[in-house]
Amino acid sequence: MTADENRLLIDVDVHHQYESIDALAPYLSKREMERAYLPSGGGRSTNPRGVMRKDVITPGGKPAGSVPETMIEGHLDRYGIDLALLNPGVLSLGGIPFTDLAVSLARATNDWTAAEWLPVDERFIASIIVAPQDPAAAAAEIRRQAENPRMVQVSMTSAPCLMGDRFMHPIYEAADEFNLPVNLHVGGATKGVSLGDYPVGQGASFFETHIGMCIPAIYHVISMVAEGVFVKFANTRLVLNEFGLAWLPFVMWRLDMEYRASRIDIPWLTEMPSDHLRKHLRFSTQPLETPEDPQKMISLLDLVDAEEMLLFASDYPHWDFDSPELALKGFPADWKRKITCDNAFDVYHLEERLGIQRQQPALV
Amino acid sequence: MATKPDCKRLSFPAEELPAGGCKVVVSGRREIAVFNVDGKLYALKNRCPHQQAPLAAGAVGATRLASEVGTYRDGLEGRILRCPWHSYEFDLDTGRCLVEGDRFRVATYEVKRENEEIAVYV
Repeated sequence: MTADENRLLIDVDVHHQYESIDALAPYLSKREMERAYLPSGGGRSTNPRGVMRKDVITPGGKPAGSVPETMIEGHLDRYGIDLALLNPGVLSLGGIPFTDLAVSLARATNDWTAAEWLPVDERFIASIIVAPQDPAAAAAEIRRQAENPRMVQVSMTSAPCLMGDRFMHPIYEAADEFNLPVNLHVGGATKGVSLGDYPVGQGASFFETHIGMCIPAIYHVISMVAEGVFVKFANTRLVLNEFGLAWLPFVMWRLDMEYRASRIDIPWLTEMPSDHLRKHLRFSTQPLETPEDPQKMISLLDLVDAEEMLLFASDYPHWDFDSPELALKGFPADWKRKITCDNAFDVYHLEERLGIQRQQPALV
Repeated sequence: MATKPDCKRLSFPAEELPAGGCKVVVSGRREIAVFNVDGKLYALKNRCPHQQAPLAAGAVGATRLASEVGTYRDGLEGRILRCPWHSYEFDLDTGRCLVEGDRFRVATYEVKRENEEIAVYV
């Protein structure tokens, strides 16, 4: 689906996960293992029709996403993905109230990814998952993992406060040090210590919940702009996964409007918030809103010059997967080239980190 | 600013505009807000370029200059006019809004004290 046959195809949201929590046993102490469980989050609507694609069949009926070979064959080979950014399917991690447990799980998950996934296929790159409940520990974990060039971003599934809050700054400071983007992935925000998706009440069905999951990102983006995160940590980029895209013009224009009136509240920001966001914010595309005429979506994104803010993602193996062959149907070739390759190369510094070129050598 | 030869002189007794005050003078359909900031005079069109609010009702004061994140640095005391509606800040000297000054700019006029009068040239 790349516009240019010679360009690599990069998928920035692919989920790998444990067959069961026992997979972490080699990476946790006996004491940590005894208390290692993933709380379910209680009361939250999860997809009653299942989280995984029903057609992802693994040997022995293991959970989808837990077998590298199945992912390689069914996704990377099937669609010609040149790089798949693994984001561990531990979406509740950011909400676990037991901070020591969350910190241990994050550390063990990263070690497990580095030891059991990255060596399997050179097309795998990965996220450093951190527990934002303890920003100092998260920063230490970033510094511990960042020397591995195939760990290309810091990932969180929710935050215990607005992400601009200075409580969170040690995470950005560490990410900034290594030029690593910070990724927030949808899904954990309603759980445990995070404050929830709906400030005005909990949605009833999964139908509501799945849309409401997008709302925290808007708050977090506003907070990070206002609190000067990207002024203080100029290398920091925020990558949002699965929070929708179409709200971007509203947020940009509204931020600019408030800035004209209340700039005095945030004197450290010296450029228009919309320009600031264009530099520092990135969105993965899935699940892409799909009006009947795709041109309307393109026009909407074009209104705020967003073509360099978008990164292709499939969300394999989750149920709301976007097919690499169809997701960007109708997008102009130059947009596709940026979304499927160039923007990822830039934001993840792939050339520097991996020593690869975005353009494959021409076949002779 | 040099007085243009073809401009109109509007004047009023200086005692009508004490320090800290603002007086509106009218020229046909145009209103001009004249401010006396500790003896320094400024004259601007009495209409905010954003939504046409009467700038004469705005407050004159300082602003916060660009600063490190989490720190505050007050500055330009007496140079900033804050619109009474949306709080847009204008530099009294240039009429430019502190945000997007090319887009939001109030017309400014020459104003001076001439003996016992204040004269505005429009």
